[in-house]
Amino acid sequence: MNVKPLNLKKSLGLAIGEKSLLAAEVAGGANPRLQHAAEFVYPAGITPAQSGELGKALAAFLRENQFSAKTAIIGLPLKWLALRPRQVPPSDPATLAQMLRLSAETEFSTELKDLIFDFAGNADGSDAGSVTLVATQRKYLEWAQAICQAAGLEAVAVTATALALDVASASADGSRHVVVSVAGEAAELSAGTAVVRALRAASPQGLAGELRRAVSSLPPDVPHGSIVLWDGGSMDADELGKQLGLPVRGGVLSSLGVETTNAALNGHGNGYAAAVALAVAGIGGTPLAIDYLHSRLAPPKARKIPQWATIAAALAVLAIGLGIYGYVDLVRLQNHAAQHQAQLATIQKQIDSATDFVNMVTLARAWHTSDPRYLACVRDLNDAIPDDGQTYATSLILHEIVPAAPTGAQANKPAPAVPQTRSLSAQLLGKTSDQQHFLTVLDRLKRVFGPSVKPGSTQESSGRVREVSFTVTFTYTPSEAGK
Amino acid sequence: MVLNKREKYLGIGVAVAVGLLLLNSLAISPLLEAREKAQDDDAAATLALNNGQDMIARKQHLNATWNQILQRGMPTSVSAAESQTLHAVADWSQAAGVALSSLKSERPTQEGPFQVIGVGVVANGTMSAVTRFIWALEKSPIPLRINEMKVNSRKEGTDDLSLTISLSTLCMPENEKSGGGK
Repeated sequence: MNVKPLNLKKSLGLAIGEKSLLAAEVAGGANPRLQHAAEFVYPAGITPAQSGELGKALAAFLRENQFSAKTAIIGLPLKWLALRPRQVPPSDPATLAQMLRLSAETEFSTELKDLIFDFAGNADGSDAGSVTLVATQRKYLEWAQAICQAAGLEAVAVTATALALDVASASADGSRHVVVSVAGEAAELSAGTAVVRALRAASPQGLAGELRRAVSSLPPDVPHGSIVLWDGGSMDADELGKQLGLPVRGGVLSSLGVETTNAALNGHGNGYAAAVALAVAGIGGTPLAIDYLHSRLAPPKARKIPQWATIAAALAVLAIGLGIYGYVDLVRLQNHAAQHQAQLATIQKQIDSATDFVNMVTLARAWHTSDPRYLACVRDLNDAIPDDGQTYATSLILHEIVPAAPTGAQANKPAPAVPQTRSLSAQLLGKTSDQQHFLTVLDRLKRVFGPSVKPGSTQESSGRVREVSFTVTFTYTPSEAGK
Repeated sequence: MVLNKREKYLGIGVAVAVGLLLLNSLAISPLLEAREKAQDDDAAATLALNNGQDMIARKQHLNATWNQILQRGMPTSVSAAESQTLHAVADWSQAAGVALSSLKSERPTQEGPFQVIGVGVVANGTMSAVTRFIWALEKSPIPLRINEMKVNSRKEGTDDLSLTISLSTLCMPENEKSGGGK
C-alpha cells in the first residue's frame, strides 16, 4: 500500500520554508536533468497568510528564473508536521489503513477535524513493522494549494520535505545515512522515515550541538555511521565531523538521480537538494513517502445515497427507458401499418379493377389455348403401348383437371374456378395376353407418363383364349413445347 | 413494529414480486399484445399492398392477351356462340371423316362475365378420322374447350371407334365486354 507514483514529464519541486522556499525544476526522461534551481525569499510586506499575493509573487519569480513546469510537488517543513511512530501487525492494506486511522484519532484527538494524516514506512501488509503517522494542519495544505493556484501551478502532491530528501538520498546509493538538510536558520535531520527531527541552526556551533544530541538519542536499530550534509556549502563538513566524532560529507546533487551543472548554481547546488528531491519524485525517480493530497488515511467517502437506492434507481431508469423504447417502437410499428393501409386504400379501386380483369382474361384464356393436349396424350399413349399384336386399348377416358380456386392470401377476392393447369386425368382400359405383358405395358406407361401411373384392377378371362383385362390411371401433363 | 433482517428481506421480496406482477399485467403484457397486433397489421397490410401492386402489374401484362382474344372473336350472345360452335363442329366432323351421331348444346351457365355453353358430341370413325377431328377441335379459332373425351372401341379388333366429347364455348354480352376492357 504505497503512495501512487507520479510520472510527470517535467516537475517543479517547491520546498516551503518559513521565510523562503526552494524551487527546482527537473525534466524527466532517460537522463533526468536539473534545469533550474533558485530560492524564493518571501517579499517584505507580504505575510505568508496572504497566499494570493505570495502566489503572484512566486509566479513572477518563476517566470524571471525561466521555470516552465506547471505541475508542482510541495514539500512542507518538519515544523509544520507532527510525527508518531507506530508498530503494526501483519495485515492487509485496508485493515492497516483502518487501524492507523483509529490510532491517529486516538493520538491526535484534539482538533482532529483540522488535521490531515498519512503514514510513512514499510507497510506492505505481509509482515509486522513500524510506520510513522505524519499529521499536519489542514490550513498548511490549503495555504500551499492556494499559493500554487495563485501562481498558476497545479499541486499534484504535498509531502514532507525531509522525508522526500531522506528517500532520495537513500535510494541513490542504497545505503542508509543520517541526512541533514540546512536552509537558513532551519535544519532537518532524518534517519529513515521513522526518525525525523527539526533542528535549530542559528549558528554552526549551535547546529553541531543540536546534531550531537540528536545523533546520540537515535535508537540503536537506526544506522547512523555517517552523515550526509545538504547545506549549500555554508558549513565545513570536516570540522563538523570532528565535532560530532562521525564522518560527515557534503551531499552531491547527482546522487539524487539528476544531471546538473554545479557551475550554473555557483557551487551552491547542494543547498537546493530538498527541492530537487521533491522534483525528482515528480518525474517518478523516487517514490513519495507520504502525500496529503492522496492520503491513504483519508476517511472513506460516506455514501450520500445508500447502495440499494442506487440500484433501485438504476433499475427504475432502466425500466422507464425500456418502457419508452417499447412505446416508441409500438408507435413506429402502428404508424408503419397505418401508412401501408393508407397506401392500400388509395389504390384499392385499382386493385379491384385489376383483379376483375385478370380473372376475366385468365378465364377466357382457357377457351383460347390452341393447345392439342388431348391429341398429344393419345399420341404418347399410342407410343407407349407395345405393337406386339397382343395388347390393345378398349377404352380411353380423358378429362381436364380443374384445380380449386385460389383462396386466402393468394387472391384479393374469390375468382371463378378457372383451369390453370393443362393436365389431364386419364383412365385406360385394355387387354393383353398375360400378366407378364401387362407388367411390360405398365412399365412402358410409367416411362412415358411418370410415377402418376397407377395400375387398377386386372382380370383374367377363363374362356378359350386366355386374356388379361386391365385398367390403368394416370395424369398427363403435356410439355410446354406442345402448348 | 421492529422487523428482523429475514423479515425485511421477505417483505422486500414480496413487494418486488407484487410490483413485477402489477407491472406485467398493467404495462408489459398490454404493450407486448399491442406490439404483436401492430406487427400483424403491418405484415397483413404490407402483403395486401404487395399483392395489389402485383395484380396491377399483371393487368398491364394481360392487356395484350385480352386484345388478342377479342381480335380472334368473342360472340356477344348465347345464340350466336351456340350456332357458331354447332356449325363449326359439324363442318370439322365432315372434313375429318367422322360420322356425327349426336350434336346438342346444353343450358348456358354464368362464369364471371362470360356465358359458358356446353356442347355434347357423339361420333364414330376410324382412328385417323377421330384424330383429325380432335385436332380440329383443339386448334379451333373460335373459343372452344374440350372438357372430357371418351374413346371406345366399338368392336374389338377393328378400326372403328366411338367418340364422346364434352365441349364448351363462351360468349360475352356486349355490356360485359365494354366493362371488361376497362
